[in-house]
Amino acid sequence: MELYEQIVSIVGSKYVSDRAPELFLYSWDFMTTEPPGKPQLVVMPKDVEEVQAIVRLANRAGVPVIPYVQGTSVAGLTNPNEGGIVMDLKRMNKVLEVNEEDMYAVVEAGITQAQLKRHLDKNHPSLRFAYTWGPPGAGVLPALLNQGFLDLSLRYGSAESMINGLEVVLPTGEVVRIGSCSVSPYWFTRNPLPDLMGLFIGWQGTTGIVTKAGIKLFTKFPYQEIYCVDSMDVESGFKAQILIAKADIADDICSENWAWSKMSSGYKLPFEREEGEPELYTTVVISANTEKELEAKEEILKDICNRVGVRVYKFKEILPTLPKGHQYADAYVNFPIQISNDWDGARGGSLQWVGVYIPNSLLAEAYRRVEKIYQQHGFLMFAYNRMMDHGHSGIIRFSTCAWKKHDERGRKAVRRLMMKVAETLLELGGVIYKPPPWAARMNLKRADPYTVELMRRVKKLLDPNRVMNPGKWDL
Amino acid sequence: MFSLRRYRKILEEYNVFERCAKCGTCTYVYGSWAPACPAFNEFKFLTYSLGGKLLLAWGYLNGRLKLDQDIARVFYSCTLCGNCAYQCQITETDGTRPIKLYAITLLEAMRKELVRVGLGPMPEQKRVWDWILKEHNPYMAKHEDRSLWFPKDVVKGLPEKAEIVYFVGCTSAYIETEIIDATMRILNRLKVDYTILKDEWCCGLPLIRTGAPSQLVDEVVNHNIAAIEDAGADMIVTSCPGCYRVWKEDLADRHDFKVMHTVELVAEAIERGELTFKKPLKAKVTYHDPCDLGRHCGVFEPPRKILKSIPGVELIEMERSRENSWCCGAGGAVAFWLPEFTMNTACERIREAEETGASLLVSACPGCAMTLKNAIKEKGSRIMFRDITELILEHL
Ligand SMILES: Cc1cc2nc3c(=O)[nH]c(=O)nc-3n(C[C@H](O)[C@H](O)[C@H](O)COP(=O)(O)OP(=O)(O)OC[C@H]3O[C@@H](n4cnc5c(N)ncnc54)[C@H](O)[C@@H]3O)c2cc1C
Ligand code: SF4
Ligand code: SF4
Repeated sequence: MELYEQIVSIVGSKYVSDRAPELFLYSWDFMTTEPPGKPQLVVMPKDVEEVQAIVRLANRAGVPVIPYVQGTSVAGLTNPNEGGIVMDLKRMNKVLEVNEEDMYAVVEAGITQAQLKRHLDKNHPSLRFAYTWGPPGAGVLPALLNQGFLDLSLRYGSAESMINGLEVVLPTGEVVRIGSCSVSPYWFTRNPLPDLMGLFIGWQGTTGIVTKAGIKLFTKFPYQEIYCVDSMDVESGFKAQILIAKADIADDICSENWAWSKMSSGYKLPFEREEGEPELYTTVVISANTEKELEAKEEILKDICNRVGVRVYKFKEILPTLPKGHQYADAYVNFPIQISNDWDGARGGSLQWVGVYIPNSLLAEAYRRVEKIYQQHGFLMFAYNRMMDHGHSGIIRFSTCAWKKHDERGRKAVRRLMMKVAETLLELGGVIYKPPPWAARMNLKRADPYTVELMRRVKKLLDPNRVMNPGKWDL
Repeated sequence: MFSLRRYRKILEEYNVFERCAKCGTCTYVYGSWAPACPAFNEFKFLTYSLGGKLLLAWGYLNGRLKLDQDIARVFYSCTLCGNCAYQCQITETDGTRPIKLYAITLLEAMRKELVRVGLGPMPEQKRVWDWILKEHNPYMAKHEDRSLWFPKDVVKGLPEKAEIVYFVGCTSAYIETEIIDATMRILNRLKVDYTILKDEWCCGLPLIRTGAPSQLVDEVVNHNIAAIEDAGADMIVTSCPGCYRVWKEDLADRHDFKVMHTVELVAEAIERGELTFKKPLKAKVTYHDPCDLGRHCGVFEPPRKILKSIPGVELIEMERSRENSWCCGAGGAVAFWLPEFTMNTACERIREAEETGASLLVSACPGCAMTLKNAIKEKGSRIMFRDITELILEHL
């Protein structure tokens, strides 16, 4: 039997395709410089048993399998570099349980931010989860599995720390459970067993397919205020961010440089920094149980900003003056949001970034070094950063947009720039997150050789036939 | 009715093709995150969302994708309801939303292109084309039977020439025939100077929405325009949102007739105090916005005004209403070749109507009436369906 027929016998013909429209759509992210692949099939399983059967089949036949929810990683992580079966998990979108008391949800792997938000709002309005700024249609789990960053990452840690437990189909077809759910009926913690979570986190779908996850939920605070902190140079901006993080008063601290801010406002390139325009726009989100608590936190914030010499004001004060196309206006209050200006605002319709986890003390230097590279390459630099985990770490990402999807020369130029940026940030001490294949290789080149060897062994052990999303983390 | 080549210029100006990154927002109602796209809901693959189709169009126009039968099926598996376009938030600094403005016309232009290269429409739709050209309706009925269900007593008293033509439309003429009776009697009550065409043909909707070449569309359109001119009318009234949109939007540059839906006429009469409802209706009522009337032509308020004017009516909105309304499932001529898709989509609407606790579901469209009534039967639902024209007449 042909592979197609075999897969049809597992999921039914409605949910398998080897037809041109699906093969085209699932070949590429339609956003980045990462090259498209050539999938053989696209399949949409409905449950863990179907995932298992497909993976067993693929493993026997040596055919790659690429887990997929919306393909919006901004790193081409679902482009099928070596062909194979793209497994779109969006039919597995159920919320299996919400435990209000213990504040967690058990969800299937294909659930999107929009779907989980809707479920919680309708059934558990006092609870929320932590969001990426990714599209509403993006999966909840991909960001967690790939160490993304969330609107609550300053307070509660980077995205993977939201995971209490996982159910995973191994590349050889067995199903494993990780965390308390492997012992107990409750998906309430990943402790206190040896933490096997790391076998599946940060691996870009190369060590197995997660089918369920227990994820943390949080109570919504009754008081919240969003503040803008504008600084004329990034040095003072980052300094203020670090002090605010250390004061432990905020849920979120993130920033855009002036160019990113213009892009998210919907401006069309070319644009320049105007006279008197701040270089860095920082957003600080503060929540509280009482008005008094909010006032006290605001006082601390203002004090820090005064000391550093940066301007602070409430976001709502400038809301009416924002351009109509500004898409952040709704953020924080109404996650998730479609911040499409981030990929099309400058009218290119394309986007790629290099982002690193970085010690916050290096943020300003990273900014200045990368700025020079952008100037040398003749591109405008879009920069964004976020404080993570009470200020213990941070991320900064540098992006480029405004080349058209079909513009091969533009694509190549951006690619060269991105590689140079990645190199510079690694040199400085950063580590590239959600790296596309070339950046993953750069990470590995600098990594301790025994670390790489251990990774290789782990990968070999879990995926002996190298079927899981090959081309990513190519060990 | 733009061709893709003509349309390309506008699309490129706003960079519509480049700006979609298949983010998926268009498959949800923005903010409440209820499902918005019937095609995506039914067929699941990304391909069926608006984003999927925009990128297929982009691939074709940039020489990365050859059109084939499967791509054609994707474009014809869409109700053209337009909900997706409303949800995409891509916005210019001045507030212009290019996807909202142009995406649906692009989907239609792609159908036209598929016809041009010999891949469209779907065979079942082609049979409909042939029948329209032969018998002037899409329902495989005889043209000579078109007026069989018209209320004879009313028709008898109609003048040869009048200011207004009541354009009946095929669905009312052959299937939802009560709507004709109701509409005519309402027009009588309003004392307007109207008539019907001696020889009305299909408005051309099934041809236009499936990308038929202009000469085929012209054949029916020219006939109808001449017939209306013969009747001496300068205004068209219809109870069918499909015909309404065709006359008001698609054919806007082909005639100078004023075009109104019955609900607009009635709502205006209520406003002027010329029409009041005497008989109360003690019921919870919910209203389904037909896509062609609501989203595509912006008529949201008149039917609500009418319903609220009937004493005793408690109007309860469905979760997805007005701009966010869930399609009945019959749009884009999909019902001719994907009846199961239409039925599933309609059943979802009935579920949503039931959720309001209403005992009566009302709409203002013979197409929606046909589809939603079938779904009520299929589901064994206890909710009742009435077209708004019937309700108006009963409660005057
Ligand atoms: C405008 C914009 C803003 C963004 N902002 C943020 C942000 O603030 N924070 C952030 O972290 N990210 C951000 N992102 C990127 C982010 O990664 C994605 O939006 C989102 O998390 C990816 O979801 P997806 O469903 O598209 O994942 P996909 O692209 O489908 O998958 C991503 C990776 O996860 C793997 N994968 C998916 N599901 C599974 C599974 N069940 N088991 C194993 N592997 C799996 C895939 O194989 C792939 O390697 C942003 C993206 C955009 C476009
Ligand atoms: S049409 Fe808009 S909402 Fe839909 S995928 Fe494209 S960008 Fe996203
Ligand atoms: S027009 Fe309707 S069915 Fe077609 S893609 Fe848009 S929302 Fe889906």
